[in-house]
Amino acid sequence: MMTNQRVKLIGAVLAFCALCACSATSDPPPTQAQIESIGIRANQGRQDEALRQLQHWADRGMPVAQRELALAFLQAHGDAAKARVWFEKAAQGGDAEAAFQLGEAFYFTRLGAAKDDAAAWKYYRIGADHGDDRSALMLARMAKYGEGVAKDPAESVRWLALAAERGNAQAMFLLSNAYQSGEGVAPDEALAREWLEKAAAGDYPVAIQALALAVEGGDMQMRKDPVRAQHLFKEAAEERRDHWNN
Amino acid sequence: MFKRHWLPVLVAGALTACANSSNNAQIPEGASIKMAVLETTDIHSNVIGYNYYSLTADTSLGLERTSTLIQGARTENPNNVLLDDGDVIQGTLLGDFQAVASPVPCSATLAVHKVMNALHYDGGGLGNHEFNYGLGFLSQITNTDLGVAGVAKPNQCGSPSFPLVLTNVNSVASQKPIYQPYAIITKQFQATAPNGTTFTTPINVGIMGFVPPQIMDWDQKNLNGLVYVNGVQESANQYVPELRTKGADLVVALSHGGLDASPYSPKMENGSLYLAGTGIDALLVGHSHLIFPQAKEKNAPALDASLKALPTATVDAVNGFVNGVPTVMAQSWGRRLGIIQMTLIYQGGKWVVQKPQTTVESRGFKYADGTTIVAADPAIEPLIDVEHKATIAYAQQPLGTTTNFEMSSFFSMVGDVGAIEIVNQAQIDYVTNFLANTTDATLQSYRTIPVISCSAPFKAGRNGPTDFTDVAPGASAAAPFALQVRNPGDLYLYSNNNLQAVKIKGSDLKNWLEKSASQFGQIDPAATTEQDLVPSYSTIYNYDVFYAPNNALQYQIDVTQPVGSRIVNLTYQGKAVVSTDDFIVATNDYRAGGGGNFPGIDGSKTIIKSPDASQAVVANYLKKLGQVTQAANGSAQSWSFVKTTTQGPVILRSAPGKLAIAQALGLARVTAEGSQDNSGFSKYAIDLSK
Repeated sequence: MMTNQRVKLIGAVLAFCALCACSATSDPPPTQAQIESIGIRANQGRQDEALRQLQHWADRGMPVAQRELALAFLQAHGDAAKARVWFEKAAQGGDAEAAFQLGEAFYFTRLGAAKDDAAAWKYYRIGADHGDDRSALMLARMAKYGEGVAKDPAESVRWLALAAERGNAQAMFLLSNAYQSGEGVAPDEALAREWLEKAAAGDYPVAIQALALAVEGGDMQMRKDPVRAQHLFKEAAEERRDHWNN
Repeated sequence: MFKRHWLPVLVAGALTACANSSNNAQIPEGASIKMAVLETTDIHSNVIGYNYYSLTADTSLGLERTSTLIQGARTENPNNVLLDDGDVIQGTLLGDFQAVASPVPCSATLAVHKVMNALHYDGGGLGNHEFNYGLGFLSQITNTDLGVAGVAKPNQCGSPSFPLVLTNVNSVASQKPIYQPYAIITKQFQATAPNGTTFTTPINVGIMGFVPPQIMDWDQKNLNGLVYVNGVQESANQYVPELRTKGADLVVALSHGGLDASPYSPKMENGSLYLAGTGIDALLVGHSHLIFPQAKEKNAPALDASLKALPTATVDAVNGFVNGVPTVMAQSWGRRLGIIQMTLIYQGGKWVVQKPQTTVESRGFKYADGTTIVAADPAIEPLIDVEHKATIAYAQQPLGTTTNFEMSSFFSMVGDVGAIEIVNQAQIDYVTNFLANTTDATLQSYRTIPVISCSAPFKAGRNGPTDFTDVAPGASAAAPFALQVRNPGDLYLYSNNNLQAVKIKGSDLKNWLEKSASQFGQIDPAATTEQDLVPSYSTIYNYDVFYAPNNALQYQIDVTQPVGSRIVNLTYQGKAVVSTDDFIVATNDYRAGGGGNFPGIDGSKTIIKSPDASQAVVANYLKKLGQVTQAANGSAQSWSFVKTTTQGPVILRSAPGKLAIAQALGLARVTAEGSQDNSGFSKYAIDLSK
C-alpha cells in the first residue's frame, strides 16, 4: 500500500521523465523541453508542485529552470524582485530569454530597474549572442538611434539581418524597409521584396498590409494580382485580434 | 492534486504501449480496406462565398464550394472520415455578427456549425481563433462544460453534432482538459476479404486536437489564469497510448499549427512536425493557411517558400509526408479539401496502414482542369439564409448618426479634409481618453504632450476613377444622410488596422510631413506644358494629413521644391514647431510599425498599441457624436499649398463630374473640369495661386 507521499513521488518521477525513459536511479538531467513543460505548469497552470520542481532545478544551477522560475514568479505571482534575481542568474548562465528580459527591464524600466541603456545593451548583447532574435532586433534599434552605443546605421542593419535570419518577422519587415530606402545598407529591391514576403508569411501585421498594398498596386515590381491582394487583406483583418500587440 | 490526475494516465500508458486494437476474430487475416481521411481547416466563418465588406459574391472561397469537393471525395472514397482542424467561428462579418453584434442564443446553433452538421462531419479540433470571443461564448456554442472558473455550464445549447477534441489545453481550476482530450469515432467501413468477398466492419478512428500555446498571449484577457497550454508533443505522448488501449485502429492528430523544423519546444507555435513520431497514423495541419503537399492541379500555385525550406529528410512536400506520417493542410476559408487515401490490411489481429499505398492531396476549387471553379452546393445557402441576410442587413442598418455633407476623397489631394478630419478627430478622442484613464506611470507622464493625429485618403484613385471614398452623396443640412453600420469602413478602408499612437519630436513631425508631401510631383512654375500635381496614385494611402483639435496644427506644402524641402510654416497653436517639441500622434499599426517607411517611424516610438480596430474607433466616435456636420467635422483644412503662379496648366486627376463638389467646398484652386484621360479620370485644372 503506497502512502500518499509515495504516490506523489512516483507521480513526479513519471511526470518529469515521461520523455526520457529514465529510471529513478540514473536521473539524467532534464531536457530544455521538459523544464519548459514544467515551467508552463508552474506559470500558466499555477501548480505549486511544478514551481517547487523548478526551484529545485534552479537551485542546482540549470539556467533554463532559473528563467522559467523567474517567468513564473513574474507572471503567475507578480513578484518582479524575485523574477529579476533569477533572470540574472539565468542570464549569467547564458540563457538567451532571461538576458532579453533583463535588456527589456533596463530599456523600458521594468522589474524595478532604472533606465540604463548601457546595461540594456549589455543584456541584449548576451541574448543575441545566445541566439535570441528579439534581442538582436533591439540591438538594431539601439544602434540606429545611438542608445547605449554609438549611432551606426550599418551596424543597425547587421543586427536587423541577424534577427531576420533567426525568424523575427518584425525584423524581416524593417530589413525590407532598409533595403528599399538604402538606410545603412546598399539599396536592393529584390531583397526588399524577398524580406517583405517572408515578414508577411511570418504574420507581422504591418508586413501583411504592406505586401497586400504592393500586390494590389503591382509595386516593387510585383505581379499585380487583385485576388491575392484581397486575400492578404482578409488575412490581415483576420489576424488583427491576435496580433494587435506585435 | 495534479499528480492524482497524471499518475493513472501515465501508468496506463506504460502498461499498454504495445496493446493492439479491435480484436475481431471474424475478420479474415489479409482483409483490406481502402479509406480516406478528409480535412478542412481554417474555415474562419466563410460559409457562403461572399464578401461582407463589399457586399458582393466571392467565388474563391467558402464552405458552400468545399461541400462540392467533399461530395466528390466521398463518391471516390466511400469509406471516409471528415474532420476539421479548427479556426471555424471567427473571420467574417457573419462570425462577428453572431458573436458580438447579435450573439447567437443558446437555443440556436452557430451558422457555420449548422452547415458542418449538415455535412456530417465526424469530428473536429479547435484553433486559436476559437478563443477570440471568450470562454463563455465558446462554452455555449459548443455546449461544453469547460470546467473553468467563472464559465457557466451550458444547458443543452446548440452545438456541433460531432465530437470536438482538444488535447493540450487544461483548466487551472480543474487541472483537467477543458474539452475531451480525444475521441474515438466508430465508422462502418466496407472491407474486402482475401477471397474477394466484401463485408462491413467497424473501424475506430481516434482523434486528438492541438492549438498553439500562443493563445495565452493572443487571448490573454480571455485566458490568463484560467487555462494553460501544454506542449503538443508531451500531450500526444500522454494520450496516444490511451487511445490505442481503448481500441483506436487509426490515430489522427488534428493539429492547428503549421510545420516548423526548429528544435522542439513546448512553447513553439507551429509544432505539428513533432507530432509525427508520437505514434499517430495521419496528421492534419493548419493555422498557416498554406497548401501541403504541393498542389497537384494544372496552373497550381508554387509550394510556399517556408515549406520548401523544410529539411527534405523529414518533410516530403511533394507527396505529403512528415517523418513518414501522411500529412495534409487544406489552406484556409474552405478553399481546399485535404484528402489522405490509405489502405489498411488486417495483419496479426489488427488493421495495419500500408504506407506505400498512401496518397495525399490538398484539393482546390479548380482541381479538375486548373481553370474551372467548382459549383457551389445549392443545399448550403438555404441552411443559413436567415443568418446570412441578417448579417447583410446589419451592415446596412443605421448607425444612429447623420451627416449633413458628402464625405468624399475626390479632392483630398488639393485640400479637402471632408473624409479625413472625422477619422483624425476619432483617433484623437480615443488617445486622449486612453491617456486620461491609463494606470501606467510612463503614459501618465505624457498627459501634457499635445495629441495630434494623421490619416490618409485611403481610397483616392488607386484602382481607377471609381475608386474614391464617397459617403452620403448629396447630403446637405436640409437633407442629412443617415450613416450605416458599414460606412465607417468607407471612411476607414482597412479593416485590419488597429489604432496605435507614437511619441515623436518636432523634427520627426517635419520629416513625416515631408515624406507625405512626396506624393506630389515637383511643379515647375515656368513650364508651359501640362503638369500632374499627383503623378501617381499608387501609394496615395501614404499621404498622411495631420490635424490637431481646433485645427491648431497648420502647415503648407511648396510643390515647386524637391522632395524633402517642401514643408513650410509648420505651426502649432500659432507658434512655429521646433525640432525639440514633443507630440503624440494617433495613427494606425501600419504607420506606427514602419509601413510606408517614414523616417524614424519604425515601431520604436510606439507608446500605445490598442486592441481596438481603427474602424471601430471611427464607428464608436460617430455614434457618440450622433450628428456629423461639415462645420465641426469636415472643414478644418490644416494644410494648403504655398501660393504659386504657374505659366502652364497644373492638373489633378479625379472622378468625372465632381466639380460642383469642389465648388461647394469653396476650393477655389479647382477651377475647371477638363477632358478625360485614357483611364477615365477627368483632368481638373488646379490654380496654385489660389
